[in-house]
Amino acid sequence: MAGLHPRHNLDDALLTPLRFSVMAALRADVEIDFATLRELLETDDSALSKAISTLSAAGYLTVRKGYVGNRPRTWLTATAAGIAAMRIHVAALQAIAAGLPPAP
Amino acid sequence: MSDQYINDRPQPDAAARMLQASDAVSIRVREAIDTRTQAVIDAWLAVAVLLYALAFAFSGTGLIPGIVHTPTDGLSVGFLVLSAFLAASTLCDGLGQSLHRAKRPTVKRRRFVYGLASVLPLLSIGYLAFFAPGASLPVALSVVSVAAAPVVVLAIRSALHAKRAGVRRPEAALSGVLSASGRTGTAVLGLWLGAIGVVTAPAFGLAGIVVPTIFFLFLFGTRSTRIGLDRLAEDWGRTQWTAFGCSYVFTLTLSVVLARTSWDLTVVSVVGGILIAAPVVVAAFRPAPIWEA
Repeated sequence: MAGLHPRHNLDDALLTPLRFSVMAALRADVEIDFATLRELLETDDSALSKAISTLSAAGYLTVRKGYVGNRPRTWLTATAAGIAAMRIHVAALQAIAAGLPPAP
Repeated sequence: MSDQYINDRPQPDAAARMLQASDAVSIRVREAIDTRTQAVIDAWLAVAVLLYALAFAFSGTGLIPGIVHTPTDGLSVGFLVLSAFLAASTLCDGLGQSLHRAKRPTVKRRRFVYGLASVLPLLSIGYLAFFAPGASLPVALSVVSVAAAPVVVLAIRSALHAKRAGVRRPEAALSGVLSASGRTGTAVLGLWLGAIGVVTAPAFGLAGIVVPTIFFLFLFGTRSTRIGLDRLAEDWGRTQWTAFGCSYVFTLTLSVVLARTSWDLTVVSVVGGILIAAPVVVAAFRPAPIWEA
């Protein structure tokens, strides 16, 4: 998108701080369970569930149900599309933070 | 949206804050991953300490009459055991230092106390092996249990702590051969440990003390340098660690066999040396996982 303001590269699915933080946590090649992510992001079940639904619908993360011992756990992993979207979004934020002026 | 957003788009300040928050989250995730790595290191170190103490006990105490070798030979066997253990602990220490986890002072103090609690009985078993080879095996094994107990407790605590952390790192998608210095360092480590194994036989005389002594000086002299073993640990993958584990077990087994057999010790030490060197030398040229930064 040469010549356009970096804001055009921002991804709508990643615009809220919570959704952005979820993808920031998942982007480093990891699998995180729901409860751990909730504690890491200091949020509540409801808000995190909503954020996960939106990101899952966008195809940015996958949800897998599993067990650790007898306890059910929900594991979350970023998809390749999610990682790519996050990279573009972060680059746009960096450009905005650096104060790049809008194209004439 | 706050006034930091115009048309739902963040302004420079808000963008900078989001990036900072993203970095903070990444660091916390990395720390959670490190908890699991620390648990693996602690488990590996507990096994290493237990095998090390057992090797000292079986190679240096309660020796069968008639197969007790001269004091010089006993010293060589002790140096052989010490070489493997110092290499293992330096590697584990290097891997531990490479973790991003910032340890709290209380955690650091607790780990130090556990380590110290193991060191004192380990020194006792070393003393028995070097200076009192006639000490009874049950006494030596009691000291082994006391030496291993603190590190085993530490490993169990780390494992329970890691089990609670719900962050996992799947297998790395990419792998590649070690860097040139990593390959060289790994191969040299294997060859050096193998050479120490070979020269432990009485036929090689003082070489059994000189070669490991140079190895100890190398370990201490290169610590935290580009060619130090602690740096090497950061590049290693599961293949290299498994190979080193095999060499470690072969080294300690050789020390026990050399002290307790009536076979031709030169043949035993040469075969043992080859078995010690081979896994690490081969692993030096095997790929290791490449993790995304």
